[in-house]
Amino acid sequence: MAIVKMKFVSASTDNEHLDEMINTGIHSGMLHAEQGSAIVNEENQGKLINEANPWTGYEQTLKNFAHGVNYDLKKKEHSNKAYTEQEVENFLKELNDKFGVTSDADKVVLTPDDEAALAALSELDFKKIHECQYLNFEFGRVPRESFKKLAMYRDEIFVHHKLHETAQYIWMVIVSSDSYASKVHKIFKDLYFEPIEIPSVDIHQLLHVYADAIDDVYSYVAQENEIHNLYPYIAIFDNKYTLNGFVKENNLEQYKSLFDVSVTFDVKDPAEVPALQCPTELKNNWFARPFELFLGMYGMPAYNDFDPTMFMAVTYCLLFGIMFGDLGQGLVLAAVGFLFEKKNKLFGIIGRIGVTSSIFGFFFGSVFGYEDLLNPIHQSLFGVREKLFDVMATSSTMVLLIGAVAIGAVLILTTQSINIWNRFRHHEIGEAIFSQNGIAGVVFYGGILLAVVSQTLYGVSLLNPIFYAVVIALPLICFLMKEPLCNAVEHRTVKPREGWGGYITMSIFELLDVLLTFITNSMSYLRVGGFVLSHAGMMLVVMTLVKMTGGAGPVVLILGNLFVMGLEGLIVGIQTLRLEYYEMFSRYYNAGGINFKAVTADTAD
Amino acid sequence: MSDGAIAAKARAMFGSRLSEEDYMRLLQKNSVPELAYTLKHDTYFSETLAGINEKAIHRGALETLLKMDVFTRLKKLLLYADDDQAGFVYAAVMNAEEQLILMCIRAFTEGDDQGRSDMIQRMPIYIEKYLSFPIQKLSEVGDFRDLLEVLKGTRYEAIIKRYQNSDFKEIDYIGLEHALRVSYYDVVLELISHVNGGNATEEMQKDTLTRVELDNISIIYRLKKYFNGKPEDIKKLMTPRYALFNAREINHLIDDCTADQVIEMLQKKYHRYISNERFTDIEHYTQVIRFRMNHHFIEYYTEPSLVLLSYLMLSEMEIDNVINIIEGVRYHINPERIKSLLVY
Repeated sequence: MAIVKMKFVSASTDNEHLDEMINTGIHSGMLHAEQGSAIVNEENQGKLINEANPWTGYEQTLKNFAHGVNYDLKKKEHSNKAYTEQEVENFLKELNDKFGVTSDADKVVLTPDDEAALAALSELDFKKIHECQYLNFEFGRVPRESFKKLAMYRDEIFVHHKLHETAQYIWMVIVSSDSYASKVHKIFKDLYFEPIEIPSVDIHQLLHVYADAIDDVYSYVAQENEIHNLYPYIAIFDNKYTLNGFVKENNLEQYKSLFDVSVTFDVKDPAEVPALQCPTELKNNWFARPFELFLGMYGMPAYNDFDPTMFMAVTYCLLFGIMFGDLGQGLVLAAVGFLFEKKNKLFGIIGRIGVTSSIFGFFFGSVFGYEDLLNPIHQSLFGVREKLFDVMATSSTMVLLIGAVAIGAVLILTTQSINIWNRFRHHEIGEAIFSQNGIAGVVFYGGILLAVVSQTLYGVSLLNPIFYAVVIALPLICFLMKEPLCNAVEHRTVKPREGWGGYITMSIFELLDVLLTFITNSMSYLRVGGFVLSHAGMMLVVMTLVKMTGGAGPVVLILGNLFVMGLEGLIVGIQTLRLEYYEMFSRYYNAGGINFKAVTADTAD
Repeated sequence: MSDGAIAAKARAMFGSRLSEEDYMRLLQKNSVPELAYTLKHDTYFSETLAGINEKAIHRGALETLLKMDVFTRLKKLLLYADDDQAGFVYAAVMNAEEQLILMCIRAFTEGDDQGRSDMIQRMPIYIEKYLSFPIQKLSEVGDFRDLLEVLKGTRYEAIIKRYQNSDFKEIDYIGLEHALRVSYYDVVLELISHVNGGNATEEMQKDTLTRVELDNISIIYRLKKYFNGKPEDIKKLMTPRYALFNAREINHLIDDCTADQVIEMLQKKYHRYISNERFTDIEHYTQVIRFRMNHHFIEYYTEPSLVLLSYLMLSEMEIDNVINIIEGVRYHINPERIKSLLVY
């Protein structure tokens, strides 16, 4: 339930060691880098690196070449040597000359199927084909429809051999004597033959010779390209090149130790660089950690904000457990969840909600839809006549619904309290006191709840002039006059920006919205009770089907349970998430943080 | 075709036809590879053209694939029909047999290797099994005896016997072509008469008779306009079947009217289909009539045989449009000129 402490680190070196510093930074996996443009300003007189990156072009050319000759480039961790730009250009020229393949992507016409056919043809040896003096070879593809027509030319003097085929084409080599070549060529032209030039060299053989050199140059070019792509992250101060960013406080020494002695460091607290948004990395215990998934979907907390993961984890498990209370199904969910927890955080969540589902299932006395199975245990443990709480009993319905609203009320008050604490932490005194989620809101909502509880449970009415003044009138005035009051306590001009007339008009409508929101938020929690009934109802249907199907009962029982776990589990999961996001987060949580993301070679692409 | 499944499916397939925007997009292309790319990626021909190498495909191969597509669709639709019913559809939409026989005779009478190659090139092997004789054997034909051997037992045997001549120079090609055409329409109308479709049968007959009639009028117009044809010569080429004109009116067109008056009469009779269409070319004009008539059938009729027949007619016209565009682009014809040939 915390946010990892960060430090802002500027690593500096001279021009000579720049690439090495960047390379170390990229591969450290510890640096959340900041763009040089975010660091440099008129005040600090910093500069940015402003030079073209030729390595992108070289890398692309090599990739095009590899695509053209159907070669799978292999990137080595370290190339054998460092290449100058001139050396790389000479090498690319040599490749084009030797292979006769242009690297211009637009002119690459050989498809993988053409390559497969060429590979089959290469058994004849391209060099020998070209050396033939009296025989004429043609290689290419014909549409399948045309291939069938070849039988009609059986009297003509040529031989053909099928090399490769797809649903549309057949690749073939045609051999004829030189004297018949033009006639044969005409026949095949009429059959829509698409000729492909037979290369003068066997590319596959040549690739064997060049493979290592190609991979070595490619590895170097790709590495240089990676480094040059990260130049935007460099800021220059007094001829010193700095790589700036945030590093986790506990990784700081390890990060520094990766660089050589030419690099010096300047470490600051995030508060000292207010112009940069410090990234957030959450640090939670085993129980809450999977729920970071849901929090991430909503938005990360800002660095100096409150991490609500633990609160969310507890409330999510609690609400899901109540809504999906079944000991058997809960244990299945828990087993599946914990079994696959390492695969995905979602399974971690399923495991945890499975546990709470089993706990509430135990209290509801429900096991895979059998509502009476736990009765003896309940009777011995709790001394009840049948079971602790019979969900399907008519008398339980109101208890459930009122209980759900009560849970909602407690959660609303809790989230308001968290919000007040948060606001005070950020010195937003006005919001902490006068807003609907501040002290005024707690007094208003809590006061009304207290009055209702007092009247309902103890028959004591709290409705008196003081109550009206303190619990109703005063908070309402606070809601209505929130902006000027906030301005007053935070030492700003009291008069609202829109002027008094406009402000009062708008505030009246906002006040109505606030009051409606209190009601709808409270009612929203009715779904907790609703789903308890819905779950029990669905299992009743399953059990009825089990009884009706006789011998097939066990199969229906298993399928029914799986169906309910799948469908209702999903619905309840989504509804609980909705309660978290809309009813709770909206009261106390402002996302707006950015995730800590260590820079890599791909970052700048 | 006892239920409406085929009709519903045919209508759904008709819904995915090329739109005016598609045609305009195709007209903007500058080369066959560009056209092939657009047809492959942006139209419903993508399934048919999947796997082609659009950068290298031959124009003729592309056209063959598009023609095959009509028959692929036809096969899909006829999965639900019985063989007898399917037969008339094949007969109704294709007259490749007649064309191949004529090409074959020309090839062996003229001793023309290129003619033989052209015939082989145009052979629709993909529908070989539905045809009445083994078309591949035509490539081995060297005289009328060989040809009659190939055509033995088919409706063509008697016609060829009537027109065969050992003196190749004396062969009456025009008469032979006419006889084959008359025979073709007789067969189609005979097949339609066996389809139990009530009003729809009448409409199918009307559709076929309209094809015959438009063919007749096209012949009258062309012979009068370009060849100054004599009435007795023109009459020899008429197929004696009538739709909106009767025999007397056709004779009147042949005996008394000029080419322009023929068009005026055509416009009067078929004003429902061409009231807002400016005359430019007789082929285009008759195609427009056929298109609109079949479009009406596919929109307003529910009888599966009629809807299917109309769908296939319209699909053939669509393929003709695409082929016109391919040829036009290949030979750098002005897009406006190509557009004027399209029927949609």
